[in-house]
Amino acid sequence: MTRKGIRPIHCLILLPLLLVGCWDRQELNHLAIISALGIEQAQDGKITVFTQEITPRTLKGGGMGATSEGGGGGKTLLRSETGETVPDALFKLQKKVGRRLFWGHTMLVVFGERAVRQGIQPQIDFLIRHPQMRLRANVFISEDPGAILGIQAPVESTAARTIRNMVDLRRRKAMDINQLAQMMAGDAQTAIIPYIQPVDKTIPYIHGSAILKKGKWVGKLNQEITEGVLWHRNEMKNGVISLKIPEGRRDMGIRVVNSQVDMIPKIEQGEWRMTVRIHAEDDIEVNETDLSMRNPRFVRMVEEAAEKEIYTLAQKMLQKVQHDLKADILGFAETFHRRYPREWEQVKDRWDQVFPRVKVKVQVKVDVERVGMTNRPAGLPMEKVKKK
Amino acid sequence: MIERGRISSGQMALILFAGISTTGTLVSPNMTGWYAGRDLWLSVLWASLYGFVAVGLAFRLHRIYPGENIIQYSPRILGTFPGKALGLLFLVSYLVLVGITLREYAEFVKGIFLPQTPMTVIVGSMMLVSAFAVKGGVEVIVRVTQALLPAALLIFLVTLCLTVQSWDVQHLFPILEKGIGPSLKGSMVPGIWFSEFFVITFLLPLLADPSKGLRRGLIAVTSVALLFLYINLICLFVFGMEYLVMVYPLFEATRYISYAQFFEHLDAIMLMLWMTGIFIKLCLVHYVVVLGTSQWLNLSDYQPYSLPMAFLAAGLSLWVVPSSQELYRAISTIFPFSFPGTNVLIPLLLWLIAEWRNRGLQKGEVVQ
Repeated sequence: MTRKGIRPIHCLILLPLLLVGCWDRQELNHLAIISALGIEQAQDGKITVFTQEITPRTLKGGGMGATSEGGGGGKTLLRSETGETVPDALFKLQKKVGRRLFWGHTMLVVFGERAVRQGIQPQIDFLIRHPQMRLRANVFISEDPGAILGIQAPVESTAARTIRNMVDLRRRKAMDINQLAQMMAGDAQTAIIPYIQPVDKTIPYIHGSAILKKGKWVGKLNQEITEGVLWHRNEMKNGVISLKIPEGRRDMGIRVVNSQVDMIPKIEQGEWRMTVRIHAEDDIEVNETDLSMRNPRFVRMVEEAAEKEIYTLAQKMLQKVQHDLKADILGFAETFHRRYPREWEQVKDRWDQVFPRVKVKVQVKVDVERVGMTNRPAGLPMEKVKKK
Repeated sequence: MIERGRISSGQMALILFAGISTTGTLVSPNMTGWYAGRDLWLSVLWASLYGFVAVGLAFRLHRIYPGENIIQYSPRILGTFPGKALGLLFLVSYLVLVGITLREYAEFVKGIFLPQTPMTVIVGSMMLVSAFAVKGGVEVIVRVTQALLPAALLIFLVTLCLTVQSWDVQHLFPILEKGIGPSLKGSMVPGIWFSEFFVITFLLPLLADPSKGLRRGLIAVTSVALLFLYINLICLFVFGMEYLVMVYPLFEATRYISYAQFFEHLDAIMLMLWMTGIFIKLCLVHYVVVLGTSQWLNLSDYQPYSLPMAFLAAGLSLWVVPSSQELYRAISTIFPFSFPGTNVLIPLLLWLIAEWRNRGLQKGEVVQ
């Protein structure tokens, strides 16, 4: 045989050597796709993990939600295991699952309240260190992570997807792993994580929030104060405010379309001051009064009432956050650091004591941009409408 | 002249751009930030000086000894023995660079995508293709670059722009908080990549249009500087100071992209782009090693030595550092001195000696 003829034979003999390869093949039917992860503190310093696994069998039904019922089991499967650390618990869990746990599609991480009280810095480390985990995964706190992950979403494929949709709908930046890590390691070393509770077996509800300092729980905020904080953090892009209009003696509902917050720091004679300017654009949603919105004087009246409302909320929020909890989740530390790096250098180690003494001035400006599809109170006879 | 192929100055700029920037975009921000913190983007500006100086020196030396590279003219400048020793130093440093590049690539792929796959397979398969490309000669390498790079670069830049949704420009401030010191210290890390621009000494003799060599070389340095500036700013804007805890911040930033819950999970695309770039970088540096070795030994041809050298480089990549941590430690502590040392300082001395030895001679004449 000629030299040229031998070459292909060499190749043929060598090719089977490649068959031992494919170490990292990942077949879809060998993966357990985890859509949500829950972490809770167990007894004696142990950690319990919950996973919400997508059950592919039911998803095969063409995405028609109805197939999930009756076939035994829902669209997602809740598993849990306890171990020394999160990876240890997950490793134990892996032994009970026939498929390899896959984290590339995890959209939700729910911390248990007890875990947050113990401190979540090690867990954040795990989440960032893990090569598959997405930094985009939303982070929540719950009294019972297992219950959240066990929710069977009636419309969406998973509860994690439902919650992600809720977050998107609110048009606010929900806390994800990246933002949480940034806040925890930031100048103030504080963080705010939204609370989530199950309303029933199919509905999760985002309500209130928890405040962390140095990775540990310091307090809980109710929904009202949470909204105040969101206003302040420039994350309130959508919301409804109810107003009492003195002249109309009835209610008015306005919707926040957009808001912009500016923080102006100032240090004068050793006194740290912060001016917070909130500018909101609103639409009128409902007008229960008899005031005609064609009159700019009445519109101004609505704006003033809204400004007062937002101002009161801001003061309430500051009282709670700045004076009760003394946790700077408002970004004051970063703002001062940027404007006054030298002065910041001196106080950065005792910011906890300086923050409650910062004098805060809140200025609110509200513009009613649109009044909706009618500019007079609809369903009211013309002569009853107050025009002037 | 054992390389018969000729390339245009534009092709040279293209292969330098891809060959130098790729690994830098992958690993440099984290290590620059270790020293420079928030001012890492300024470090790039300082470091780009290395690139301009390296290209300028290579061009000056090439003007004194036209058609020759450092392996060929260093014995003529320093005398046979010291010159050959210097040539060997360059060859070893570039061979190490091939090994390091392979290792960076392998650590990235193994750490994120193929944890179970043996390192030898990842390294070996990449080195094998590069070795085949080098065996084809310089023209094959530049053609491959021309075919792969424009599309890859376009997708890369578009993907980077998509991170705009998570930018927070405020992370930039305060600039120069601790003075200029940290950013200067940080410039040592991107300085490694900019000093690699001295490989242009191997490409200048191959130019079909040598008159444009300097200009196109400087354009390549400027483009790499702009790209580094851009990626460092992106890492800072997306993650704030948290980019410091990430080994591959730019990769994480692109993985963080999410539009409408639908356009996300771009990591596979990024892997593809980086593989393309790493391949070009390996081709370039491996070519330099193979060509240089053949010239150093006065061989009549260089192409047959591509595969044997590839085996050497693949082996080197496995034992050059024991772990990924040691690799990054070396990049942030040893290479900031060794690379600018061999690629900027030595050529500078070489050029001064050459100018001194050739003083008083007419244009075109050189001391033998």
